[in-house]
Amino acid sequence: MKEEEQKKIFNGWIKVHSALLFKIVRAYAFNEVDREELFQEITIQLWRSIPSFRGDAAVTTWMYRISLNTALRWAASEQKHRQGVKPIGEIEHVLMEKPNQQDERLSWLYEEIAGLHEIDRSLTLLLLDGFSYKEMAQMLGISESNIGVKLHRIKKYLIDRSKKAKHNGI
Amino acid sequence: MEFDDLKKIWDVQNNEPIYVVNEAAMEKTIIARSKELSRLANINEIGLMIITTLTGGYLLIDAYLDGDEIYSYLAAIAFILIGGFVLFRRIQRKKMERSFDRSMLGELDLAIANAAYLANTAKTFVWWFLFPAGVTSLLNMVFSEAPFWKWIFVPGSFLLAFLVVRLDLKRAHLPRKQKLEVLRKKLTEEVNA
Repeated sequence: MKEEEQKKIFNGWIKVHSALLFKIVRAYAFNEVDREELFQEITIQLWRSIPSFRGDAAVTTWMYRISLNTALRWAASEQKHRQGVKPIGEIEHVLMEKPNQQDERLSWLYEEIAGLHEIDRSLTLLLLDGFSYKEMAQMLGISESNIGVKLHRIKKYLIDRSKKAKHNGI
Repeated sequence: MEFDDLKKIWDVQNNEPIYVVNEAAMEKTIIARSKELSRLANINEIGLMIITTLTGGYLLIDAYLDGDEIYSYLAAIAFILIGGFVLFRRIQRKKMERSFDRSMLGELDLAIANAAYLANTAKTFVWWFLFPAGVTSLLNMVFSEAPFWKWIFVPGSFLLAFLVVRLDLKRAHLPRKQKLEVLRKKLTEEVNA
């Protein structure tokens, strides 16, 4: 595949589906440097995955799969924070936060997701973004019944937590 | 609050992303890091193959030109065989990488297999590198009446290589493998329940 063609596909994916990447980054990285690094890592893996994308799966499913796998590997890696050794001013920022975009209820939801185990975080994102059990099972490589058990537990946990929350508009 | 309410909160960010992407910086980073990743993935194995083959070749030519004893040839052959062994392991690793599916479980299994490969390579470093290269080099030095500095430099280099590999094993490969195994266990824990 020619680089120009790869670039065109990649830019198209990012333009339409960047919100998907932001969600994963925010769920797995908890400070500015880590979010920047994870976002870069995910975009690199997406770029590298383009030649093997055959269109058998929807673009969002493909992007979710690559991005979640990258986030999990990144979370398990001893080499994260590689850019953390650089002073923050020296990092060329790819990801920039918009001012005044904080929704308190959404921040609360992310805090709850951050408290879950890495695997459960993946499932929660897929659940909230409306993927079916079948799609999740294919993406994660485990059975639909297992997905069902895990999601039931996660849903219950989030609903219970929302009932206990007494601020942030919840 | 019910789950549908949580989903409504979640969906807000689809229309109002909280980040913007610096596209020029992203493109620059992707191209640079993509090349770096390909280079890093190959640098250990290919670097070791080049070093051992060149060292072996040099020792072979040197022994031939000097009309040395058989021990000099043994050291050369040992280095070349180590290069061949690294190539064999690399081919095996590449073949293994193609046998995993692309699901999260498949990716975790592949990452665990890769971490196990690196850990195993580091654990057996003494047997496939240090022992053959060290013994033949030392024999060569005994029979060629090597100068004093060589008796410091050569064993010192082997010792340093051993310590670096052990440190890498303990601080990087084994902890990473353990973390990946925990993730895998968490992903599959209810499959058999």
